[in-house]
Amino acid sequence: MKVKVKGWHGVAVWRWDVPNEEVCGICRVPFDGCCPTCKTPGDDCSLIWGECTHVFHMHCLLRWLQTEGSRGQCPMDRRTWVTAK
Amino acid sequence: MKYNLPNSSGSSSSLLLSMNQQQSDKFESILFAWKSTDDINVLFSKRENNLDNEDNSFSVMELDDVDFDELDISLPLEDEEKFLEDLNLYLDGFSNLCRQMHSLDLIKRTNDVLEELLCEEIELKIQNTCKRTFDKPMLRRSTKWLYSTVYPWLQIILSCNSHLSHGSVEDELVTWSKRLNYHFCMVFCDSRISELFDVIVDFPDSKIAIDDLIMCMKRLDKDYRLRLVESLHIAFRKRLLIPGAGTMDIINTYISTIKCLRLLDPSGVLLEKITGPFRSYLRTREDSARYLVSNWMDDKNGNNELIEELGRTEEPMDNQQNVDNWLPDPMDAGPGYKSSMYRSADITNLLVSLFDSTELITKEIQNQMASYLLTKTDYDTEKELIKLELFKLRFGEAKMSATEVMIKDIADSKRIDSFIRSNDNPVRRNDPEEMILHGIVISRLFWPTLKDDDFGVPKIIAERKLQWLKSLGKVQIELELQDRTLEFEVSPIYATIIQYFQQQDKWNLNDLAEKIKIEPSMLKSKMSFWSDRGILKESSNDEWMLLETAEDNSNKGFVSNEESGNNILQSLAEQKAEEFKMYWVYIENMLKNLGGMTLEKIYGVLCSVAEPSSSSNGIDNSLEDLKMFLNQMVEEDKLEFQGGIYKLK
Repeated sequence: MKVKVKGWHGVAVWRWDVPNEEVCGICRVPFDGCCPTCKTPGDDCSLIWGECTHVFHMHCLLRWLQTEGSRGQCPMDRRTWVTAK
Repeated sequence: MKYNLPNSSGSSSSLLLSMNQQQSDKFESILFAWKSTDDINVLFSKRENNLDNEDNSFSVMELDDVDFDELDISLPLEDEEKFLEDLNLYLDGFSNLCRQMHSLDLIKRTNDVLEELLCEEIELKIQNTCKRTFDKPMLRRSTKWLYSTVYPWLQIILSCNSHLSHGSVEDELVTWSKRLNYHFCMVFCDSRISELFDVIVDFPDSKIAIDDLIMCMKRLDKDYRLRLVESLHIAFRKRLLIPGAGTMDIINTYISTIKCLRLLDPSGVLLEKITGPFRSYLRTREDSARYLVSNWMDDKNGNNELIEELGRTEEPMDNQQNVDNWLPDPMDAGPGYKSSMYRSADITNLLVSLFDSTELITKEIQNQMASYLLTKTDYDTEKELIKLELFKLRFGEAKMSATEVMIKDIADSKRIDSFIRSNDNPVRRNDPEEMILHGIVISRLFWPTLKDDDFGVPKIIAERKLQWLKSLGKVQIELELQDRTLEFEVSPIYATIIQYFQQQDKWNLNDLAEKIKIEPSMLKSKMSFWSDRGILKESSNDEWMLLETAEDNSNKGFVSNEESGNNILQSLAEQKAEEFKMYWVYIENMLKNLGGMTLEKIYGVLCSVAEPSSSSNGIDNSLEDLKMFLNQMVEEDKLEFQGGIYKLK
């Protein structure tokens, strides 16, 4: 007998490649979800990586940086936020 | 329903005319058993014999009925002349008799008997003609009978009284007819109410019966509404709300009931009263939400009422606009009556309100949507999008957002898939082996918990970071056997199994299970998929072999539907158990520190400890579930249960 696979429709789950962190430090929603203002996760609500290795939802962090109290610092370690390349 | 006084000369012919109109109705023909003129003669002679007997009204009544009904059945047209002659003769004889009785003052004395008799006759007529006939306007027909048969007959009797003037005969007749009509309505109503359950089941074919009932109920007092409710309650309890009835049937009957009662009583009070038992019963059925949603999702059934109803979102009635024809709630409305809900009688709303929260429904929608989407191979989500829009209208956008993401995932997957295949793809390799692979990439937090039975997929699978759910999806495979070539579209697990049979023709179940890395018992159930299709065969205990040539044992009728129970979603119980596993650490520590505890105490502590948002639905797991979990732990020898107290072993 010969089995010929003509097509394969697989199902996969995507995850952000974030080491051991599960939730965004600002909104406390999992990274694989979306920030409170978004409805769809993934490309529409992407993450942002800082040089300090902290990761947030991009929308969350941008909103944080816009507030005056933030002084442009990372909310986790109070170092100046520099987006990682 | 106007009563025409037939004058004595023209009466017979006008009666004949009306009878002829009814000739087409088969109904009337089976009314009475006498079919030949001989029968009439017999009765006629009987009448003469009983001339001075008080009971003679009986035979006269019969005679009279036979007269009209029989004639209209068996009369050949050429005999019309003769028939008219005969009829007039009979009528004359009958009038004569009445006149004689009047002069003997017998008519007055037999008034009671007469009335009783007429009532009985009406009951009989309704019994014989209207019972179980819901698709014809029986009310109109029966009243026609009243006016064409009963009243003329009565008129003959009354008008023979020489003491009464023409006008007073008419008055008398009107009094009689009022009484008889009321009785008629009562009997008719009773008969219909007693079979209302069947009427509802037959709806909408039985709409005419409902119309009849409405007309009757209008004439009768409110007492009948109560009677209707009671009778329906009993019928439902006895015939529908029993374990033997399928949930889908119950839901369908519920819908018909709503529709019927909406017609019967636009104010909705009856509806509220009657659907009570339904609602409490459907609530106890675990699968009612599933059936409801699956009906919404099912497109194959062309004229699906539920889908239509789903789309119909009636505007809430504008109070200002309706202020002119406002009606108070009927007398029998209870104080807690929510007029608006039943008044509008929006079926979907009534169905959804069966469940304590719409959560249950939206979750079910999500689940079913997931299984629809994941078994798709063409990424076509048009239908699902339409459904989604309808659901959004119903349940609000926020509740449906997860489902929206699910559909979007499929659309994105389509984009990715076509990009991989397109020429713009920089990493495109013209490797035919890779070209057969299509993928669906999903956002895990927005989908229901999916079941992932891990097993060894033979090569060809490659990696934002993807984690493949190996048991999901579809594989199209072609099997080339010695005598036949077959094509299948199956779940990966089945493809995997058959793939192994390519290497060798015979496998021991346990060996194969080890190779595929799944439980032998599970493998066994999967194997039956192929044996049902005549490709594999269990030669001896746990030894499976490939059938290179088709075996002719034509029990193909049994081919189980593909993948019996296409349950790609984790069952509810499994999910619950998993949730409790999270709490096990708490429970263990609790019992270690505080010693034995009762079920309620454990539950109380858990409730205060557990964050409401820690899992998808927090600890809204009921006491029952906790009990089940703890008992399971007892079985696993981790706990000890003594005198209502759980202890650590």
